[in-house]
Amino acid sequence: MNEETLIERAQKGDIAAFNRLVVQYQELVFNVAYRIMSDPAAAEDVAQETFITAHQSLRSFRGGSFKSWLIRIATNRCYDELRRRKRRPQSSLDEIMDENESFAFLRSPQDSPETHRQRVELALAIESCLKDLPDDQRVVTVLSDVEGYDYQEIANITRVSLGTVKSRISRARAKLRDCLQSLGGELLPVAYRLDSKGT
Amino acid sequence: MFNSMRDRGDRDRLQETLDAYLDNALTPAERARFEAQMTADPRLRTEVEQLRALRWQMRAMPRRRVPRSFALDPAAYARPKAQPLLQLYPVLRGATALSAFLLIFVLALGAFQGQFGGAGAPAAAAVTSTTAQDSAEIAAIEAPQQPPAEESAAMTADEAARTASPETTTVTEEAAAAELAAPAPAGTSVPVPEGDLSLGASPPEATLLPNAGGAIAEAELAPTLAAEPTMELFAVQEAANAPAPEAVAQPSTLLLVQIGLGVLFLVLLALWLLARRRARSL
Repeated sequence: MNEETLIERAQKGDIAAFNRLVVQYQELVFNVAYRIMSDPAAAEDVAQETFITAHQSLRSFRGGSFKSWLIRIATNRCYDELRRRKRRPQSSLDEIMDENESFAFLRSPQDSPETHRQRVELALAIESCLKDLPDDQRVVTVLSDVEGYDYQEIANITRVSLGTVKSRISRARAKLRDCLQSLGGELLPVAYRLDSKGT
Repeated sequence: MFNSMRDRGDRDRLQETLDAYLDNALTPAERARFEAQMTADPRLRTEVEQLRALRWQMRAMPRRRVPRSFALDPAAYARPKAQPLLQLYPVLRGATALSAFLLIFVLALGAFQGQFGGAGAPAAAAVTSTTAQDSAEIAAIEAPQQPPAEESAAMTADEAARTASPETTTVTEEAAAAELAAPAPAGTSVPVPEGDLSLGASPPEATLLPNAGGAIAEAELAPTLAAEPTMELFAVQEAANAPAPEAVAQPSTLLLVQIGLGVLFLVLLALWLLARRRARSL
């Protein structure tokens, strides 16, 4: 069954069809939320709220990209949560989690301990620098550099102009580069430095 | 300072072009121009390589596995809930705009009728205060507010007339003022309550109050008209007596309409903002 049929059936109240869409997109939604929130527990809440909101508002979906529509709901929920946190700051559970436990998901069966250590280091460095970005810049960077959306899609999702998206991405990347350089002296760990030549 | 601002602007533009180059968002012409620039500038080339590596690393970041399924419980979410506020959003928008327009209209109507004592007052004063009797009329209205009504009103009228035109004031004017003040006992002017005067929607005599000075000054311009006091005095007295009952009823109806529309507008605005917020969160 294709996506359009699933959406149509979900709009008519078929919860099984909607849940198939959830299964299809839950990893994407959770990861976007996680990169923006930098906190797995908050990302879990945001992801769940995203699907509940999507289900409640399904009748207002008028076609187009369902994926982008979902990501727009997720980023809006993230903004809401970030605003709430600014009003009531709280310590993240993630901050007190053991580093190895937190990044256990990075371990791959073929990784040597050294490779795994480097992967963890890199992920920690990027996550730390991402966390330091202003919210608006972090959102566009996650959508652009982590999820691979193009400028126009990001403008549609975040409801800002194309020029704003460009300038936010540009500033965010410059800050990320400076941050990574300041953390490690070099931009990236040796094993990952300038590996790719593709754009 | 301007040079440094221009430099910063140039740097920002270059940085944006660089990012657009990495994201394949440049036109072929822009791309060729940028590549030529990059060939000539090794530092720019290094920067491009650094950002390319960063971008690649970000893209290669491993995805987290979802901690649990986010599928919704069929028992709780069997049918999508109706969202009346979302569905009514366009209607609410139109209704809010319409109520705002109507509110502005009735407020403007009130202002035109001198309801707020500002905008309407000069217009009314302009219509009714072109004769020398104005000063006398003001004195007549003010008269009941002062203890010995008849005497003080007459004095006020005299003083006003003298102040307005010390040289041109005629005996006729003074007589007219006195004549007007004399038969203006509490019964004529007192029934118009102060509240009505301040609301300003009552007939011309109410609007004349704040403009006493202007009216007195205008008495100078038309001293000759004062030569025919009898007819005009009659008219002034009629004007002072006749419209008072209507003046009490008119502003209250308009005021009720204004309050009703104001409340309606606020309710619609609140609902519209709520619906707008929900629509935007999608």
